[in-house]
Order: sequence, then C-alpha cells, then structure tokens
Amino acid sequence: MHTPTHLLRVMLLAAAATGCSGPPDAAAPTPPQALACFGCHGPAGRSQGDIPALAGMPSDRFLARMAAFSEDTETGGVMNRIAPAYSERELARLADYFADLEPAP
Amino acid sequence: MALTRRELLRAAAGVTGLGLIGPGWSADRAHGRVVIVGGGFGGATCARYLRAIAPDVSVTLIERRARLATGPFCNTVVAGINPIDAITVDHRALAAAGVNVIHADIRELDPVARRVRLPDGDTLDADHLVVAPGIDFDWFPIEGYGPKVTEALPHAWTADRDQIVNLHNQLRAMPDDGVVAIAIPANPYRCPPGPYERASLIGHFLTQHKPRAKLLLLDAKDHFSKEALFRAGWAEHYGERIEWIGRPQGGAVVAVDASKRTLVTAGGERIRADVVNVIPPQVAGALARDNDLTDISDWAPVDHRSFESTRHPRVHVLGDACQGGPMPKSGYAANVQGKICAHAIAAGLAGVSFAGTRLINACYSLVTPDHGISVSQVYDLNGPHFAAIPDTGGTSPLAASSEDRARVAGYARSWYRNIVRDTFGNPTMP
Repeated sequence: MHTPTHLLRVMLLAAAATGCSGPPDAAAPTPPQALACFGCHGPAGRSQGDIPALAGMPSDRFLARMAAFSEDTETGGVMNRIAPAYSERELARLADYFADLEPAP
Repeated sequence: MALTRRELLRAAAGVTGLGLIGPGWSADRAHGRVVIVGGGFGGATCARYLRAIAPDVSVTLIERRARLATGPFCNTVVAGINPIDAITVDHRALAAAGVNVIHADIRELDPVARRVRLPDGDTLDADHLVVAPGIDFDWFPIEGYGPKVTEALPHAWTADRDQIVNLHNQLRAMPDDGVVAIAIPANPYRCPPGPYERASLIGHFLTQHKPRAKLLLLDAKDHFSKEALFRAGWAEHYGERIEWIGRPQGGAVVAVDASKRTLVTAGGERIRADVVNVIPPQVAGALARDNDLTDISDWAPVDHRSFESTRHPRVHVLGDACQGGPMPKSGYAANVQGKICAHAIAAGLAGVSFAGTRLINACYSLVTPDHGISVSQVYDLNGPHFAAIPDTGGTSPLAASSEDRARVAGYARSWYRNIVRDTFGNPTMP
C-alpha cells in the first residue's frame, strides 16, 4: 500500500522527470491540499458556526488536533477519517499555511 | 468579500507546493476568455476562484435561473424546518467580483470551436469552456412519469424552488393517517444519501404533525449510502413509521399513475399514496449529452487533474455531469472540482502545466435536527484519475454518543454556511 509520504515522493520524482522544478524553496509554500479544506472550513479558512476556523489557528494547535484525530482521541466530526491521509510533512505545511491566514475580523 | 485576492493568490501559488508548476509561474500572467455554462456548485466555484486567482482572465457565467435552491439542506425545507429562502442562492456576489453573469438559456454549444450561442443570437467564444449543467432526468424507466406530472408528483431534486415548496405543501395537506411514498433510483444519481436524509426528515415532520402517517421507500437498489446509520436512526426515532422496500423485495418503481397517485413496483404491487415523491433515474445535463461530451454511460469522461473532457480539448465538465470516478455526485465534490478546474485553466492560460491535487469529499446528513451523521473520503490522483486512499474515510460511528450526534448536526449547519459562502459568496443561511 502506498503511504502518503511515499505518494508524495513519487509525485516529486514524477515532477523531476517531466522537467519541472523540484520541491519549492519559497518561504511559505501553500499546500495545494488546502483547497479541499475550504468547503467545510469556509472561504480562506474563515468558518462560520461550529466548524473551527482554520485562518489564524496556531500551528502547534493545528498539529495537536490533527494528531488527536489520527489517534481517534477526538471524535464527532469527519476529521478523524481525513487526518490519517496526510503525511507529517504535509500537515506541517498546512499548519504553517493556516496559521498565516488572516482570521475573520 | 471574505476571500481576499492576496489569500487566493497564495492558494494559487500553492500549486507550486509539489513543484509541478514551473518556477516563476504566476496566475497574474494568465490572459484569455473563459465561458462557464451552469451556475451551480461546480460552475459558480470555478467562476469565483478564477476571478480571484487570474484577474486578467475574463469570466462569463451563463445560468438559466436567477435564483437556485441548493440541493444541500433542501430536505430541511421539505420537512418545514427551514423556509425556502434559507436555501436560495443567487449570483450577485459573483457579479460583484467581476464575473459577467448572464441569465439565459443556451441555444447552441460547439465543443470544437468552444463557442456558445444564446437565444438572442449573441455568440461567445472561449479559450476554455466549462460545462457544468448538473443532471437531467431520464424519464423513460418509470412509465407515466414525465415533465407534465411533476406538479402532482414532485421530484424536488433540482434547483427549482417551486418543486421543494410543492413537496412540503403536499406533506402539510395530507391526511393525518396518510401514506408518503418516495421512489428512489439506482446508482449513479445526485447526492447518494439524499433520499434517505429526506426520508429521515419527513419522518421527523410526520412525528410532529401527522402522527398516524407512514412513509414507504421504494428503492431500485439493494443497499444505500450510510445504510447502517440511517437504519439505526430510523429504528430509534421513527420505529415502524418508515418502511424500506429494496430492489430484492421488488421495490423498484416501474410506473406511476399521477391522477390516482399510484405507484407500480417491479414486484407487481400497486401502491396508493397521499404524497408521492419520485426521484427519477438521472443522466448528465443535456448540454453535455447533446454536445458530444458524454459517452455510452450518459456521463462525461474527464481527466481528474483538470476536469478537462477527454473528448474535446479545453472543454471542462464539472460536478454531477462528469464521471467523478469514486467521487460521489455531491455539492462538496463539485465545489472542489471547480477549484481544481479554475487552477488548471489559469495555469493553461499562463502557459504552464498543472498537476492537479488531492481531493476530499465530506458529507453530512440529518437523521433528526439534532442527530447528524457523516461520510467522508480522501482521494489521490493515480494518473489522470482519482482513487480513494485506502484506510481513510468512511462513516461516523454507529455507536456515537448523543453529544457527538448533536455535534455532527451542528457541523452540518456550519458546513452548509461555509460551502455556500465558498461557492456563491452569499452572506445568508440558516
């Protein structure tokens, strides 16, 4: 079975093979996976209502919650079935990205 | 607008995150004309994100209806929990963001020339054409059902507000000991758990207002989405009130008689009901089927990296009309497909390639207003197609505590507000 990390590696290799650039060196690369988050968490991560806003969430809090979802110690929503699909590296990127988004005023 | 250009530009820049777009690519370099046909979850999201990430691309959105009832949460209106206006969206926020919104039918669509002709004779040429027509009904399999009888036997399965209000009004007007019947189609169709959430919330309505009434589900399938969760919820909240008759029991509806409100099943039974809701079998919208964008399945094959048609280059098909592989025909899927398509088009117009990205589907259903259940899945690209990532996704647990069920119901309401804002930019909602 392919782990997310393995898939990421394969994709990076594929990228190298097609002559595109390697991994980014940008200071704050935006994880493309973040696009799939806004449907539930609101445009630019500014949720209204019970679903937590991601915009401005401190990265350590984001990572702690994702770990809790992965370990099934936090239940109720859909995240404990989504979090395990992401590698630590992807989660770290997402954490930095969301922490950096401006929260709703 | 909550979504600032800076944030979206950064999201766009994020496609460089896997190094699959050449260095220095900026969506700001993209120039061209995009015409989007269909203003539901797929088309509207694509228009909104394109405007935000590629400000020099002209975006025209053509949609027949000025106001749409959303599929998500329509069952709360059927059951009288929300008024129809609470689930009505429009395209004013898109127009304010610079989308050229035209409310008109399409007279002709040429997928080779990428040209659209309007009823007044105006033509629009596009560098990229996005076709997001949603579903059409296949009237053929249910004898006696057709456009002329939808007022008597509503489907309430499209953006037509009147249909949803009609079904609610019929429920209100039925006798206290009446029978409601829902005809449910075989796969694939729009919103797999939708008929069962509808059954649940109608059950809730009956419990409150028609305590002696019954609800019959006549299904063309052997099994259904979130089945264990729905069945347990029905047993707990609605007891004998809801009866499911599946395909193996001859439940598929093969004919209706609108004047007598009678349904005939494959098992040969004639069932008279006071309220008949027929959710007919479905195919891709005519704009896709009539213009060489579908195959023998009656759905449009696409490359999941860009939602570009495999039949016509630079024509994209989004949402319910496309073959989403393991993705269900859901508003959530259409929304995220719209974003991927917007990024692929912006990259294409900037002269660079786009590799696509991972997708999520998340779907909530209400068994009662305080009992929510969910299903979710993460999909990764395997070449040009999505595949579900093993050991992720699935439904909420059968043994969820009442606190967790109430939390999920709260998440469902929050999800609705957020996805509508992400898609249409509207500030309203229940």
